Amino acid sequence: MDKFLKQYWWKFSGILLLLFALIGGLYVPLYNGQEGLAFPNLPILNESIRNLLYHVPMWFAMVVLLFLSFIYSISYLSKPTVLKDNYAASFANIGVLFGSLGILTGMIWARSTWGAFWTNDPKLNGAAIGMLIYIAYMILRASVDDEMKRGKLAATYNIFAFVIYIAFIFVIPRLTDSLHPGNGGNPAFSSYDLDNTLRIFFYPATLGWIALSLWVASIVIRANTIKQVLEDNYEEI
Amino acid sequence: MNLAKGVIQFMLLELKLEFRLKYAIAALLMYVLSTVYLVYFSLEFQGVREDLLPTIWSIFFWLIVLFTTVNATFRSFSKESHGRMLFYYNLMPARVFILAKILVNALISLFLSVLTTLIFWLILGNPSQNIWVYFLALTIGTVGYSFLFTYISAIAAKAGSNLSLSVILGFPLAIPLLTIIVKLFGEAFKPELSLNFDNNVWIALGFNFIPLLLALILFPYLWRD
Repeated sequence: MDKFLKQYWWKFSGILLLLFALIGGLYVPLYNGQEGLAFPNLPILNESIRNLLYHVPMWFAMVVLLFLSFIYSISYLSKPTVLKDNYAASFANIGVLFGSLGILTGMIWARSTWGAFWTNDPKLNGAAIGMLIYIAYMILRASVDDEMKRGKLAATYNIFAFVIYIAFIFVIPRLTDSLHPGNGGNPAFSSYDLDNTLRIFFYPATLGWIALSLWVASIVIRANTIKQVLEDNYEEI
Repeated sequence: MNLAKGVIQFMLLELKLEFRLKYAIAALLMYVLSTVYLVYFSLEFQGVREDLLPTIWSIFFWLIVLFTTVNATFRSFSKESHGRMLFYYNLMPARVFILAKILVNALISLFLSVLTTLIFWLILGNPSQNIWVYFLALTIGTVGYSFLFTYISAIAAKAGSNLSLSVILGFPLAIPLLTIIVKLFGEAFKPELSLNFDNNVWIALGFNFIPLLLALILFPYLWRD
């Protein structure tokens, strides 16, 4: 992972994919009986279908980062190093950043399709709880001074929280109907609806956003590492 | 077998200590009593106590149970001095310790929530129609909370013994269980059970089981200093 984060190829190909998906996503018209590339023109969604290229991949990026954070927390418990703790914390932080962006893009979209910024939807509640959990994680980190102790407490909380959170977001939407496309009879981009044109842009967008989030996380990790090294040297002087 | 024996012995010790320090349990009882009275007076002076909706009743009830459980479980770690923890550390494996703590906390929380029920019935009336469902949901909910918060209190105690930290860390994680329990609990106020009642009971039990399992796996790492 360490080496992978320093390589350039995935960063630049991620940016290219993202540019392709976002520029193309704004350029392709909706289907109105014309020839050529077109996005499906669904009732209610209309032009807002393009949000699929922002909102959904941002959530994917968040889940990937939180999962990486979870993995590093497990590996920290088996063999604690400062670097692993740094990885776990930075992935969680940037995961929360992308989660917040996902919420924001979702809110703007919801205002135009559902008529309100926030609705009592199981997926929205799941998102909000996820943010609360990881903000609590940051508060826990901030409240402990000792480095080893902080790493250990944060890792155990992270594992505990992640498993409960994943169980929650998989179970809760099955308990109640959701307003999200594809649930409870809403128009959706489900298997037969997510047509090939949308797919051409959706998959690159997903990969692109994940690559971008990893890039941001890798910069944060390096900055934290430098900070730690400087602090250690300062104490020696 | 050895594990079970150790757990039971340590549980008995904990319960004995609990009864010896009567003021601690009395303080929790006082906490329950005064919060229920707070609810009672606020409803009374709004003039809504007479025709209190079951939904409002159960919301107040679960909030009080939640806070009582947090207080009860947090005490189980904050009361231990550093020296005593070290003594326990040498005396028994970490899993025995946490399992016994979890079970004792579940018993105490269950006792407190049943008591809260009795006080609620006494001064706010009993709107429930199905007493079995009521106590089923109450048991699953309280036990689940105490599983979750015992582990969270262990983290908070390690981080510097701060009740508000325990609340911050625990409440977001308690929401999943709370949503299902409130759903289950609501069934006690209806004449008939809904179709997916069994399903919800299993999900709620699952959310009890996950924190228990995770606590057993993770606590040994947490305990080492």
